[in-house]
Amino acid sequence: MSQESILLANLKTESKKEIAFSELVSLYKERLYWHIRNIVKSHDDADDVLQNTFIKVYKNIGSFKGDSKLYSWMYRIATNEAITFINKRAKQMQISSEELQSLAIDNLKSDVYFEGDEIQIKLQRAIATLPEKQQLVFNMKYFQDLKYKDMSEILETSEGALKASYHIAIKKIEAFLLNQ
Amino acid sequence: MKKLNKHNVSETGFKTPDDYFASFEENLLSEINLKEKVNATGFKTPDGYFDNFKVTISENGKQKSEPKVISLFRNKKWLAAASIAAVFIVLISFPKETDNSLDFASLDSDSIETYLLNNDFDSAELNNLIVNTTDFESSILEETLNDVHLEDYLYNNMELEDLNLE
Repeated sequence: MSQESILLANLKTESKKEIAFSELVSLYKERLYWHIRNIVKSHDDADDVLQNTFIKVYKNIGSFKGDSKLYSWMYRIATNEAITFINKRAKQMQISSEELQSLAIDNLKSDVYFEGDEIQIKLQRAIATLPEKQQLVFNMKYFQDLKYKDMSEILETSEGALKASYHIAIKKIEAFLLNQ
Repeated sequence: MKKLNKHNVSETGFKTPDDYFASFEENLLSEINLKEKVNATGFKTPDGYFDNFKVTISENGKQKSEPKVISLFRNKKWLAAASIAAVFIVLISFPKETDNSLDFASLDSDSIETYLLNNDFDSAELNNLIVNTTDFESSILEETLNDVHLEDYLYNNMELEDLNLE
């Protein structure tokens, strides 16, 4: 039995659920945090979304059928939570999610939890020009170095399509940085 | 027959997507170029964030609503503004020596008049207050009193007996 399947079995056993859940949190908190942070940009928002992600995992672990890896399932929840968060915030502010993303990038300059230079800001602006799915693919591959196989499970897209999407994203970003 | 077939197989049967080798090199170079320019997001977390990260779940499966502590100075702009304000407060709160050196020029005539009226000076003391007698004399001489003012003054301030003294 793999570590993941033992963990999953414990998560579904009421008496072991609490301990297994804290093990799950410590195993995946960093990876999921950086995945979320790349989408929402600010630390505070990433923290909120990460909390919500784990709460959703806890509440729904009973209905997880194991069709995909636990890891991919959690990534999928984190992605959906982050995108829902952005859409909700944009709706509250009565702006588009693209405008909200642009505002989030503007705020990076004064964010104490951002230590990037002008080039990192430019990179964020370049990523923001990509369609939503391409942004996800780029962030997951470029910054987190996820395998196409895992990405394929998380995003429910074929590996071939993901590779093509990633290379298009690289070229668009390169062109954006050259033109700036 | 089987043996003959084995010798006749000269190809693996593997094939690649169209333009695979041409695009492979191009894609690889693009990625290397980009990673040379920028390969980190610049994002960071507060110190010890991951060590202290906990998910609090209440009995009904929802997150316990604990008030979130947000540092006042998590924004660089606020930190800068607060520093500037602090410097100003310190500067303002130091007593200025120049504030204590008053001169007559800085007082308005109403304040002087009120001061003189409220303090019961006799003529000798008033005389001492007049430092520059020349200026005082010329201001008295140049002051033109019209009849109405003079009459008003005498009516309000003089007793008939006082006028009869001399």
